[in-house]
Amino acid sequence: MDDIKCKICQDKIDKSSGKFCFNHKLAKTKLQNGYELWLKAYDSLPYDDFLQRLLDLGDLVGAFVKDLAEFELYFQETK
Amino acid sequence: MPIKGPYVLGVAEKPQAASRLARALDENKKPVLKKIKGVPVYISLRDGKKIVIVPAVGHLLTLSPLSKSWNYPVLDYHWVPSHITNSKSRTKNFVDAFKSLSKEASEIIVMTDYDREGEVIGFLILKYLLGKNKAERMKFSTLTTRDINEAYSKRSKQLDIGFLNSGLLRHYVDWLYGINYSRALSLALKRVSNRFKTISIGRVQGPTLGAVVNLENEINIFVPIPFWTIESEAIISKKKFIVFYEKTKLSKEKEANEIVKDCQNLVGIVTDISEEQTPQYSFPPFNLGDLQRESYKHFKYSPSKTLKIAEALYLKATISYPRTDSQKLPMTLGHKTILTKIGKQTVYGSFVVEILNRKKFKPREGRRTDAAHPAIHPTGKPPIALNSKEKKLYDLIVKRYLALFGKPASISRKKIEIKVNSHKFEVRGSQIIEEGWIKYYKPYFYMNESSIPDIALNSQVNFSFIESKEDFSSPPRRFNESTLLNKMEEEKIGTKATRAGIIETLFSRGYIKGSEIKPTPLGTAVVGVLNSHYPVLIKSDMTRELETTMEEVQEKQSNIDEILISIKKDLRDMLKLFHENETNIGISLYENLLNLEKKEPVLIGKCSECKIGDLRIIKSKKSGKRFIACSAYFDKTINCTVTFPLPSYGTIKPTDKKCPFDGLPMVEWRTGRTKRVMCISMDCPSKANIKGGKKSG
Ligand SMILES: [Zn+2]
Ligand SMILES: [Zn+2]
Ligand SMILES: [Zn+2]
Repeated sequence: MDDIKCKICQDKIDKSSGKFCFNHKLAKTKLQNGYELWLKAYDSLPYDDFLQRLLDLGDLVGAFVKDLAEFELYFQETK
Repeated sequence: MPIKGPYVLGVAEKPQAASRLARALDENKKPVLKKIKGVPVYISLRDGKKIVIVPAVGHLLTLSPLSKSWNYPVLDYHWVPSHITNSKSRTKNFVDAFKSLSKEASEIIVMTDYDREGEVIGFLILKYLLGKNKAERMKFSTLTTRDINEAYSKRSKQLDIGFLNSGLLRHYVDWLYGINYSRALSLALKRVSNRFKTISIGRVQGPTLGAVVNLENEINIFVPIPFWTIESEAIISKKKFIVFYEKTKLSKEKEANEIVKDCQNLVGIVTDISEEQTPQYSFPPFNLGDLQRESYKHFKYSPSKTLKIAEALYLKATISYPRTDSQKLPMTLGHKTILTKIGKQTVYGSFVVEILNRKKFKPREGRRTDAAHPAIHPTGKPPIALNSKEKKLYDLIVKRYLALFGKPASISRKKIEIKVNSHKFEVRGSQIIEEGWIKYYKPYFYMNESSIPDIALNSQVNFSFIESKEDFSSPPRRFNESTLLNKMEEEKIGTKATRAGIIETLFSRGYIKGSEIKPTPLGTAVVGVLNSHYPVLIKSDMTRELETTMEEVQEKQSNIDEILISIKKDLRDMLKLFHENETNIGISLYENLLNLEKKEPVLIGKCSECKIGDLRIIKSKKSGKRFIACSAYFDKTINCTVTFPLPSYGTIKPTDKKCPFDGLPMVEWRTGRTKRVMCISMDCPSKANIKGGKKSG
């Protein structure tokens, strides 16, 4: 069961991602690209700090990205 | 009582217009009012002739399919009186009034608004209600006595074929697309799910909704990126000024910090001073789009509301016809007369005196033109009995018009370059040197002025601070009704007369919501399905091409029969493709709708603890238990930990009721046939005596 539903929203997973639905897969890509830009901007920044600071930005952050950041920060057992 | 013939029968678009037309055309300005089945009919006398003027109320006829089967494609149609297909339509009496007057009419003059819709309204009444095929046509841009009389004496011998054919073509095309895709989508859903739900998406609505959903998709995956700005303030002649750093944005924290460090002595040297005076010309005359934008900007009226108010002003003969693209105001409009009349209103009096005292006065014009009407302008007729909204819009229109006669304004812009070590800063000032037209257009033009004191080159400037500020890029802004209208103009979909109405339809069909427009889940679902299985309805290309075809019909006055044959053929091919894809579309629509119902956020109400978050039902990812929690839990600065447990069985739905004991939101709890409305708090006094689930409500 777990394999066919998005870990975040329980939607159908996107075949090419394996874990997330189409929207959350897209958000994942954007999040990763975003992290790289943040790293360049601050020189150094742990991933968890990045997620937390992102969540602090509230409505500036896209809803799907926020879902993903919450998920990775609070519910992800293995990183 | 019937009216004795023979008479000239005038077809007006609306009762108010009929009354103005009749009064202007009657020799004594006193037409006789008669009622036929409650419809006001005016009888005017002129040159020994009787002119009977009858109003419509917009369209009295509508398209209807020839076949009764509920399938697609539907390619054959006919015109029927609206009250036959729609029992709510109150047009029957108008239809009867026209029919009863047709026999004794010796001539017909169409007096509807001069544009595509007006031509179509007149033509359909002529052909289907009066049973004739020839009419003369009065063309006017205002409902003033002067213009109506001129339109009467210069009336043309026939209808405007370009307007008529392109107007009819638009009706046919929109009707064909509307009915076929509404059926196709609804049937696709029904065949896979046995559920019936009308899902319709018009030809222009599709790409418009598509634009809203695409933007929302972008916002949903937006990741803000940090950047830094240098904020600084300098003191010149004891006054404080904001100073701009040479680079507006810095992408690295380190770089920003280094700049601040380099500048920490807070002392700079003036290295350059420049000043230039530039003329600023008044804005062009209003066409409908510009009026809608400006009215949104100053009064927050939506485009459709602005159009309605403008129409009311037009019907009161105080402004010219508002459905125009034109930014032209030819001298033949008689500006001197208009200005003189406006000058009699005290608020504008002194401005008009100034304008008329000049030897030459010619309004500034813009580039855009319109086949039928000049730019929107006041007629000079005193604005009597306007409501407050009409007054506001009228003032805007008059002032815009007056500003066109004003001299160019002259604005001085001064820049002082200051170097702090190797870093360049700039102080900017601007000042209105000569007001010109701005005086007439106030308060609709405003400029933040700041004048910089004189300072010598190489003098020293002290800063009160030079700091770096962290900021983040923002997601794209959602459309409001005004910017969505701009987007439609940009994409060349719809027309000036239809755009505002299309946005309104998207709201009323529940596809979009809010003043910062968001797609609803339904809107998102429909666009999602079409994007992946049938994008032609969402992309602008097809719609834009059809718009071009219709424009051409108007310009070339071409025959539309052949064009319709080819449009129907294209549509038939497109629908065949849809049909082949029907199962996929149906399944995907069904899945999307189901998902939507599941995910419809179960918001219970505002959190009374932090007053910021929303209380919502969530499911624990570990235990699978559901409970109510505050959305501000994830907000680090608030971290509101409010929760309320929920029963583990039955369905919970929000209500809009508040608990009388503690003011907390109440929910509806349904198990089997039992329904209870209860406070979300376990400790609530209301629960003391009903523990155990007694039935209530
Ligand atoms: Zn998901
Ligand atoms: Zn809270
Ligand atoms: Zn309570």
